[in-house]
Amino acid sequence: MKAITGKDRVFAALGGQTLDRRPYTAMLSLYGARLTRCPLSHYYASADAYAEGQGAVLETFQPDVLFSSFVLVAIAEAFGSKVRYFENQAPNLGRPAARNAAEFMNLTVPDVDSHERLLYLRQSLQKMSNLYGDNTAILGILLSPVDLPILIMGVEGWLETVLFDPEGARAVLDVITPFFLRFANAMLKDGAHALALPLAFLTPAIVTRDMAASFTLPVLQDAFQAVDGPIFLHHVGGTFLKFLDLFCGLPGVAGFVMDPRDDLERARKIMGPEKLLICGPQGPTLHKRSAGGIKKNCLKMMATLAPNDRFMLATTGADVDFRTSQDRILALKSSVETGS
Amino acid sequence: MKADIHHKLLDCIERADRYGANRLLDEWSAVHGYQKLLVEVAAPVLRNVGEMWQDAEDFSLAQAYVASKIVEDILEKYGQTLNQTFDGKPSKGPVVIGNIEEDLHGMGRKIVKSFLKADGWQVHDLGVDVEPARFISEAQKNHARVIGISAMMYTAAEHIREVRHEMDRTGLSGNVPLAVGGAVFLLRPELAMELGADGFAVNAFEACDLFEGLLNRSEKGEL
Repeated sequence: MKAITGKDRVFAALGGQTLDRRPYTAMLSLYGARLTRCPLSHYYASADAYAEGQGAVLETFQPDVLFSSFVLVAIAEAFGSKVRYFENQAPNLGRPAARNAAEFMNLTVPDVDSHERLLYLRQSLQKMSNLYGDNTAILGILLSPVDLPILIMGVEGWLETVLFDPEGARAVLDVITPFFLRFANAMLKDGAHALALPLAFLTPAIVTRDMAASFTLPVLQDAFQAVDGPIFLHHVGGTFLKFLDLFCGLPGVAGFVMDPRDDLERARKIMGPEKLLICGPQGPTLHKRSAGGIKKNCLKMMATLAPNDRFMLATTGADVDFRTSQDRILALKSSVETGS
Repeated sequence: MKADIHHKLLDCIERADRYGANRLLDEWSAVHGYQKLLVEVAAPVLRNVGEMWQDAEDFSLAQAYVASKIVEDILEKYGQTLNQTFDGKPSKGPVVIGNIEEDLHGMGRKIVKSFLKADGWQVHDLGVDVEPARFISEAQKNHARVIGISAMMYTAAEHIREVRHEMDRTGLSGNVPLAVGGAVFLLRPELAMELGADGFAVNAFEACDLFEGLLNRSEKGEL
């Protein structure tokens, strides 16, 4: 009899079934480098090094989902932004390539099939898909058209444009949306089973409800219709629930990564029974908690769910911190083994 | 009547409507005058926004940014001098602010700058990626009463330690308070003390109270 794989568990959960246990994962994109002792400057430049790191993640933690390289600033670099690299944390945006819409319009849009930094993202995904994709669900991480400009103009430049230069914002979106679609569909062709999109410009911490409804939503409505695979929307780091009713009907969206502070029962009521609800402890602060405490909270969270609830346990927020000891991450796996 | 304009201005900020706020304030000041606008409208509404930001989890970055832009608009349009606060009280004195070396994320600092100016401080803004020694030299040159430093990430925040060393070396410690803020301190509040800061603020409005509180402690010799 064929053994149940991580991919089986994820697809079963999407279909409303639980196999031997609920699926689980953790955002361990960065952590792979710790396991293989790979310098981050190499890890975030070599597709082989990244795939090897994710192989070590799979071997150590057996998550049901692996993620493409969570180094979205590689896209920023492709547009001309400056990026800062560190020894033990993911790189961060330095100087944006443009300060406003006018400067943005003078930039060259990088080719998703030939630009070195975009090829790194795609080739690492292809290698992961070839090596692990038969048994493990692979998620490609990308920003949506409403958030990609942050990588090119910085939060301030893009927010200023959205708030005070609607024509400029429209012009930027007319350029960035086709880029998003080319890149998103390329990632799906490269072997991603679905896309995970962190959505800053759809969270109450960044925008007002009116901005989310009148600016963000129409852009996503149009763009997601042309994406050739399922999409998971990610809360970024803030609570998601307040605006969930606005965007739970977006085309192609298969599920939501909610903030652990969100009321999951209410979230389920709003999103309906068909979507995959994903939640769990915050990845960046996992190292500050005990393994026992993490497991206790995960079990408590899962105890509120109906047996047929479409749920996946996962770390939330950004990458699991480099300093996190392995028992904290394994506490998630232990939780789904005990609490499913 | 005053409650009505307070409500309308607050509503504009909540909707992140800078232009609506400007229209509203223009109309009101045409009847009542600029001085009344500053003292009776802008100051109490900003205090109200500050309280909202501390209490409500969902006061968005867009709203905070628009509030700071409205403050800038008022300061520019009504010729607000740096010698008088929105409350009509005398200036609180000069301060030096900036993002620490290696930190290029200036948005939070710019919002703080607007609110500090509205609160009556003479703000010398050094911008982003400021070397520790420059904070000291600018503080000395401008007779700063407080030094304020913003940092988003841990690696950059580590340079604040060097600012404290320089303050110790030059004798500023104990006389000029060192205030810090930024995302890294929200995640790790204990870091502020570890790096040698005298206090930290969780948002731009709290920065005004922090600066004032630190100055009071400094004047009483309690730093």
